Amino acid sequence: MKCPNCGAEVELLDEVCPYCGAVNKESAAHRAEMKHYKERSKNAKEKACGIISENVALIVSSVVLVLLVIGIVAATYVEKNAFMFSHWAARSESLQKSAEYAGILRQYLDSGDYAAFLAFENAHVIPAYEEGYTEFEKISGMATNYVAAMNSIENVVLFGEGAKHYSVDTDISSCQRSIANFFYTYERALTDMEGDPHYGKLLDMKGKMDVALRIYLGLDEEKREEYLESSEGRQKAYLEEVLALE
Amino acid sequence: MNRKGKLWIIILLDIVLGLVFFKALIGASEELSWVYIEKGGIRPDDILSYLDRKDYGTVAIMARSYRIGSKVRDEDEELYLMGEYADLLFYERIFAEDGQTEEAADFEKRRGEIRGVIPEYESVLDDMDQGIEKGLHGVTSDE
Repeated sequence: MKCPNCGAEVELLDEVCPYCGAVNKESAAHRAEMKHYKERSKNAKEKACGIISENVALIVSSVVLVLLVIGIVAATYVEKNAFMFSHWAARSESLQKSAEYAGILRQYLDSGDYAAFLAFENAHVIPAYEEGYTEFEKISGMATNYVAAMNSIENVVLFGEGAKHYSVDTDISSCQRSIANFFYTYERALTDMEGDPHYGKLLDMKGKMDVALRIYLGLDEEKREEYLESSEGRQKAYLEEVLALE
Repeated sequence: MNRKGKLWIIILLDIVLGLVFFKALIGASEELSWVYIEKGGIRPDDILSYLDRKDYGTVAIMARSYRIGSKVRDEDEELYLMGEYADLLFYERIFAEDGQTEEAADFEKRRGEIRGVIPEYESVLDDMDQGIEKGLHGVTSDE
């Protein structure tokens, strides 16, 4: 707006013109309204503060109540999904410590303890296809078949006097199937793993499997060939006969 | 209801929910650490059940993660030690027959250590030893 005395620009809330000092009568009503609103606002604020201070204990305990409900829901969710969280944590850790863990895996491979190799890989949720572990990708797959076959043999030969088996038929079938699967995948891996840094371990696995079949299942080289060439039914019959599980 | 009444009700609810929250928190942390250790979710009860059935091969397989260093609760350690013993027993024969005598000797040494740690289970470990002898159905280099 303009000053009615000198014509200079003055603000709406200016009581006097900053240039000529003339009283700004035109905005007097506006200024009075502003003063009134400010007072009302101040009163409302004071009233609100008063209500809050009177109810502070109630508000705080209500906030605590809400937080506790959220906490209970969150803790219950974590408890119910603990496996997912721990699995994720172990996997992240294995990626961070890839150099250390890869070294441990190599040690297990070098010692020929493929069961321990696989157990370590599983326990630490090591992704063989991720950077830092790619060298183990193929041997890891083969170790899975090797350990499955060894486990099934361990399962049918290592028990105490008067042992009670859950299901002899299942154990025999599992043993027959996993041994057959090992030799099938071994033949394929001989070609697939050519040039692989752990190719030698593949041959060592086969050597150990041959030993296990010989000492635990009575399959020397000649009998082994005969056994592997026989039908599934004959293989099971042989295992039933030699193991004589009750 | 007056303000004071409401306040007391909420405080009482806070106390009750606080206890529930504390219990849920303990449950969650226990479950997290448990699964982290075991990974495969194998419970000591399962191992105990197979030990009772004298199915030592299964016990050995179940305890393998312990053999490679996974930590278990102190009160469950004996069960896992027996499983480790059985697993070493099974593989010791294979390694020895395969010509890896050094590794086989390491396994034997560790078995001896386990026997020293859990002497009260000597009869079970002896039963495992006899079990593996009976499990030998073929010719070994000793014969």
